[in-house]
Amino acid sequence: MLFTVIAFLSACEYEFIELKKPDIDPDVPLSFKSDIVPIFQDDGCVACHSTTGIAFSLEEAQAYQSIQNNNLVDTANPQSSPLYVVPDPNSAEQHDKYSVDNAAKVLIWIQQGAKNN
Amino acid sequence: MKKFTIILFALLIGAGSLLAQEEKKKDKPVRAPFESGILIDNQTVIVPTKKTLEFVIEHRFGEIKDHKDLWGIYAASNIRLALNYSLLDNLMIGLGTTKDQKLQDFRAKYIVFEQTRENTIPVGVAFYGNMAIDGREKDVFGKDYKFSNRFSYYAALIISRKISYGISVQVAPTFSHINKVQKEYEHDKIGIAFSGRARISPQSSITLQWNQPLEIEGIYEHHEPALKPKANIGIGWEISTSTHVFQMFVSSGRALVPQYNMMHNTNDFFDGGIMFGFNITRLWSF
Repeated sequence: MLFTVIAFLSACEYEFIELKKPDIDPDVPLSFKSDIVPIFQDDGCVACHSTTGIAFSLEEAQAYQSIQNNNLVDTANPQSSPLYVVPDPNSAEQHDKYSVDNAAKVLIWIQQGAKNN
Repeated sequence: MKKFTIILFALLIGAGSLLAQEEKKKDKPVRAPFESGILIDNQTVIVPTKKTLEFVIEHRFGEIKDHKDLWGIYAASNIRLALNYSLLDNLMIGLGTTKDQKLQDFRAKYIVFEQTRENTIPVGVAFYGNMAIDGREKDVFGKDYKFSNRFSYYAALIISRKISYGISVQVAPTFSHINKVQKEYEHDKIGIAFSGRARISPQSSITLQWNQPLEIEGIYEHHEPALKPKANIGIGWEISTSTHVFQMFVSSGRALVPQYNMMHNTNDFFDGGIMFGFNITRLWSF
């Protein structure tokens, strides 16, 4: 028992997460239809956020309208947009999460003006 | 800081073995101070008898906000499935898997001694420890990734007292550690976990927990930590049979591996940060 505890403790580390710069060029325009909507599929958002699900639908046909109606993006302050913050893997929000790359894409799309393109 | 943690552990274990030596007269242990090894989010001083396999389902629904998602029942939930096995009458080991952060955890609980009927030993004492591995994609850990970034630990020295036939309480100093955290967050947290139960019929009890992370300025790594975790408070109802325990409750901690509640809980029980949850255990003896 004592040995296990010591073995566990000796593995204690004190490191901080320093995020890598995402591999996405912020100057290349992202398309809502071909870059953002697939994220809602791939990261499982539509499992709950569907026409038959909860709160609002992120299915292709309703996604943009839902984002507008529920104030999910804040183009003046992209970092605090609910569409980015709530599913961001490094936020403290209790919610299912984007992958790191997809979170970065969503943020860049909002920074580019959150256009329906 | 690292030295401090090692000293703390040495003290906890030292205290346990000293007390254990005082046990001399033969006096039977009290009957069932708690019904199961788990009480809402806390471990109790109970270990099932030797060669017992225990299957545990722990489920927490989403936050109770409004009727649109049936007060959190339809919202994103967290679940843990686990197996525990009692190697000895006083030693249990277990492993489990959790949805949030894809945590894989390994745990052990050791009963140092039990409270006795004649009060020769007035309290029961158990030691519980776990280690969890965060199973998310490695990009989440940022630069300089290595496998040990995923590790986190929790230890508790549980002290219990069965006060009367129906009322049992326990208090546990706890220590939590997460290997890699976000900037301005803390790596270590000392807390106190309180649990209690009051029997209302032969099979059912009202249960209560109050797990308070302590803000101790002397051990802060940062001048002012970015996150001061909230207490994980819960109140519920427990129904037990000889091989099953059902617990239903409202509580404020969503994590199912205790170090993440002690270190990262942002739900304030008194400000609407509560959710429904349940635990089910099933025992098989071999």
